[in-house]
Amino acid sequence: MTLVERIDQAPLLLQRWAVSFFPALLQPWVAMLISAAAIIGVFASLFALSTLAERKGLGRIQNRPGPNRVGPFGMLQPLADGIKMLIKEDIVPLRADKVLHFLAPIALIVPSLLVYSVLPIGRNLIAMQCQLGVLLFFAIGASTELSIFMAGWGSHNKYSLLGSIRAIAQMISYELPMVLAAVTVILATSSLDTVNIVEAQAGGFWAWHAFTPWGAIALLTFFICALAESNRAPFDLPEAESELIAGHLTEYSGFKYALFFMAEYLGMMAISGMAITLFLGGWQAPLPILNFIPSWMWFFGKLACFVVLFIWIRGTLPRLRADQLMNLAWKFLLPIALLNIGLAGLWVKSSGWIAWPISVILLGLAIVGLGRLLRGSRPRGGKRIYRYAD
Amino acid sequence: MPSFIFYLFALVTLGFGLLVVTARNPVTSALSLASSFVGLAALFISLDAYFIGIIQILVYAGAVMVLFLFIIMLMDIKAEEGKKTNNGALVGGCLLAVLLVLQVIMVSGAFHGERTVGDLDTAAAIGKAAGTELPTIANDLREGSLPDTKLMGYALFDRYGFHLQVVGLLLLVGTVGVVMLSKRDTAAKEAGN
Amino acid sequence: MNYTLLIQAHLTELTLICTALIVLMVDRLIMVRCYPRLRDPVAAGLTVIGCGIAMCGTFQADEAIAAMTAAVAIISLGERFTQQVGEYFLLLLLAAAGLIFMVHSSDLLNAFLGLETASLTFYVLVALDRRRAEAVQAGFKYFLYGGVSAACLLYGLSLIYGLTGSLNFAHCTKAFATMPPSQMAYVAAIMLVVGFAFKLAAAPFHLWAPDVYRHAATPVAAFIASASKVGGIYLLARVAGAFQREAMLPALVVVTVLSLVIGNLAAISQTSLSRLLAFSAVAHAGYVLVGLCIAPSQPVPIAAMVYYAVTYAIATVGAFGVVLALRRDAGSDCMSGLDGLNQRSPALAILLAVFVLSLAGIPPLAGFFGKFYVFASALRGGSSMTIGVAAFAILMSAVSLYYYLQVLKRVFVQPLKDDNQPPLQVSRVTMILLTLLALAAILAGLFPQGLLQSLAPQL
Repeated sequence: MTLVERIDQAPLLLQRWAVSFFPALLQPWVAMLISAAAIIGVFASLFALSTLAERKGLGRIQNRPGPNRVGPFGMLQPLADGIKMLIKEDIVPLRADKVLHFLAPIALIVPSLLVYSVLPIGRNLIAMQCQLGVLLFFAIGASTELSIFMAGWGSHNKYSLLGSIRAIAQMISYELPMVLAAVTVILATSSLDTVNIVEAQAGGFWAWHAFTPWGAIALLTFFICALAESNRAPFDLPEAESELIAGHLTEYSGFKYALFFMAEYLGMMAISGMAITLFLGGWQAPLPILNFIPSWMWFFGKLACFVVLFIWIRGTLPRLRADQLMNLAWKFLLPIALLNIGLAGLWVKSSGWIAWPISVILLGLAIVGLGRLLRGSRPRGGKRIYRYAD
Repeated sequence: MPSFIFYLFALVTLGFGLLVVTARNPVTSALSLASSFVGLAALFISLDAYFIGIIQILVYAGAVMVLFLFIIMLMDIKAEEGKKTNNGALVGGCLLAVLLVLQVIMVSGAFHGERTVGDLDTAAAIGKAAGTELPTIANDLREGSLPDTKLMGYALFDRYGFHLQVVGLLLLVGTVGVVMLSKRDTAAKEAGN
Repeated sequence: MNYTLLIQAHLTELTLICTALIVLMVDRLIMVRCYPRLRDPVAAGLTVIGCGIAMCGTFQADEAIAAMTAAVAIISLGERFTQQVGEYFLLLLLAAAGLIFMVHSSDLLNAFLGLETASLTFYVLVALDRRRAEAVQAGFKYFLYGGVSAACLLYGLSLIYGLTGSLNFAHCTKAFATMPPSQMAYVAAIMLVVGFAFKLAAAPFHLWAPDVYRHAATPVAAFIASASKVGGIYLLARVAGAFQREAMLPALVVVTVLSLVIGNLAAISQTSLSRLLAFSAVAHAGYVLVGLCIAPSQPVPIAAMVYYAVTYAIATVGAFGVVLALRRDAGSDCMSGLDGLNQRSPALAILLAVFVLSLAGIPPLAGFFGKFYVFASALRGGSSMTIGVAAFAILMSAVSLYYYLQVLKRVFVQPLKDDNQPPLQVSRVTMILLTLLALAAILAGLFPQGLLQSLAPQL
């Protein structure tokens, strides 16, 4: 094993080394525990980093310094936040459904962490290789809707309930085009295994799925849906503070709130990780010459780009209206995603350059046509009239 | 150890299933149903039926239950307070359950064959028949893993492809029906006034 | 899969489905904006044309269903129970397509899917008239009963699959022939009979029928009473032919006898014509099931049963046409509205007489030969029990004469309560249709052999 390979496989070697201290009977269990602990540790610290990046980045976009008091350049701000969250009072509303109110953050954080088990973080670095990895990812992701319901219902608060209704409606609507966008990749690689999907994109950035006509559109669809699925701006209606205070988070405080907060960031990173795996070559280097850089560095580098993109979008785009949100999902993204699956099939069957012009023409027509339809649709009831509360 | 896991998930499935029926609060019932589905999915996965197990979560726990919960949220269904149990329904339900158990015993008594072998044979036959068209299945078989997703796809879209299209007709009827019944009818409005 | 063969086999359904989509598009895209007044006639006309194309070929169960659909489309003209004209005719055509799928299918799964497509359409159609709470209630009731019956049916089918390993009719027949009847077969038989009894409105699973017949819009009720019966009976006869009839016989006998008793006795006390037709439907389900209560060694008299169903459907659609005229005239279909119909509209009175006498089974009309063939096949070489069932059915059809004649007594003997009542107005199209139906009932009675041979399935 060369040094480059050793560095590339360092996490795996470390795990093996640690496991070797235990009796053979316990070894598989210890290996599992170590994988789980590694995921929790790595992504929880990434969460802390990205909150800091977000606050700093948003600050720069809004022409203010952002956090700069705790530690050098405010670097220790997440730590301070964590301590604050831990020692804050945990308030449970009197008439809340105590059990649901308590279970909701736990039921949210578990699937948020669980989805990382099928993401290949580097070469051979995957917690659980599963034949149906992509499907498992979406299945687990879908169950977060239940915990949002639990939070909204359990709080016994109008704002919470409305917020959770919005959140769930939004998540159901955007899950559909998202999964359909992922179907194109499954069609092209004829595998649901994330490891196989990454390996199918080996050889350089031109082999990545994002650099095919269907892949580009699918990536775009997937990314828009990812924004909506993680309730990020401009799709952050469920937590629209001007209308709903904080949506389903209204009645949460202290560490429970922190768990929700963490789940949002974890979800964002997981879904970015999936986008990278499906479309951007996962841990593959963009050029074969660059293979000396460890595979996991590539994965985390791409992930960082995605996180920055998320923050940037949050800082620049205004929030959508509820009907625009629904129209975008059902009248634009869904038909595009369906058309895209057909084009992916064409690409697989023809496997040549003929698919390029056909795809470009069809997709262009569809996007322009559907876009016009979308712009033409106005909310019911004519012009909106704004009135002051009286 | 695997048998321990089996009993654990069987317990989860049955326990939450019981809670679905006995709970007074509709939200508790719905969430118990979801938990029961998760237990069931785990049982499927422990039988190597990964696809069914995951679809169980994706479709039932993910989509169907969310729609249930939506109805609960929108209609604001309250817990039934002090409603007497319907004895007739109770006896009927118990009777049905007993009948079902009897039947399962009968069926499992009559079942002798080793199904897995048969399925592998089918898979091999499919791989052979498909030849160049579906090389992946044949490859998977050579590797020795049972590609349940591909088998399922093959069964659904080839063997039962026509039936699937008839299901499309059924869904069309359902969609049109729902739109018709929920659309605001101007005649109905006039009659209401 | 060979698509050319599939398309050839299912050409009728495809015609109907295409017509349905054309009707919807024409209605929504052209008629609503440009000619709102002509929506009804155009949609109905397109429907009739589509059904006419679908009816090309030898007259069998599927063509009979298409014909009934066309008839229902014609009597829907001028009925204002919904604004969604295009969707209404679409559902009508899709229901017909579902029923024909069921008739054409070579396996149980497709038959079940066709049946469910049709049933789902019926639930919607019944509840369509949302101005009336009763219609919605009837639709909901029908939906609940229908859902349970579908579950029973599906369970029965799954047991058949478990027993034979196939859902194909031919394969099932072969597999069951070599197998002694097991306990599972008995359970499956009960489930199948329960499921079909629900769909056919046979007692004791008929409770939805009176409500649906009474409260659904009249054309819808006519459709459910006619086309679905033809399809349902055809399918039941085929399933019974493929299944072990030793296992099915006990459940069938119970359902048959109960239908005969409950249908006929309850019909006597009805005061509304549509409810009377509902209970008569229950009784007729009993009569036609007699055709299955035969010795297991005998072949299923499928042609006779379908002949019965078709003639019954013709008479029922006709009777519902009269109900429609009454409802339009008086707002309800009370039996008292029939008083002195002879003086108000002699033509309608005579037509009603033809339909009612055909339902009662009076010799020159089609209904008689339907009963004759079914009962004859039951009496042929049957055991004492099957002969007993047939004899009981004959007895019960004598009882049924009482309430059918009650209707005719009101029409022809009872004087008008109020001499100033104007003559009953019936639209010309409806009148032509009813005349055609009456002619069909008479001709099918005069030349029963030809229709019977045509209806014999060529499997």
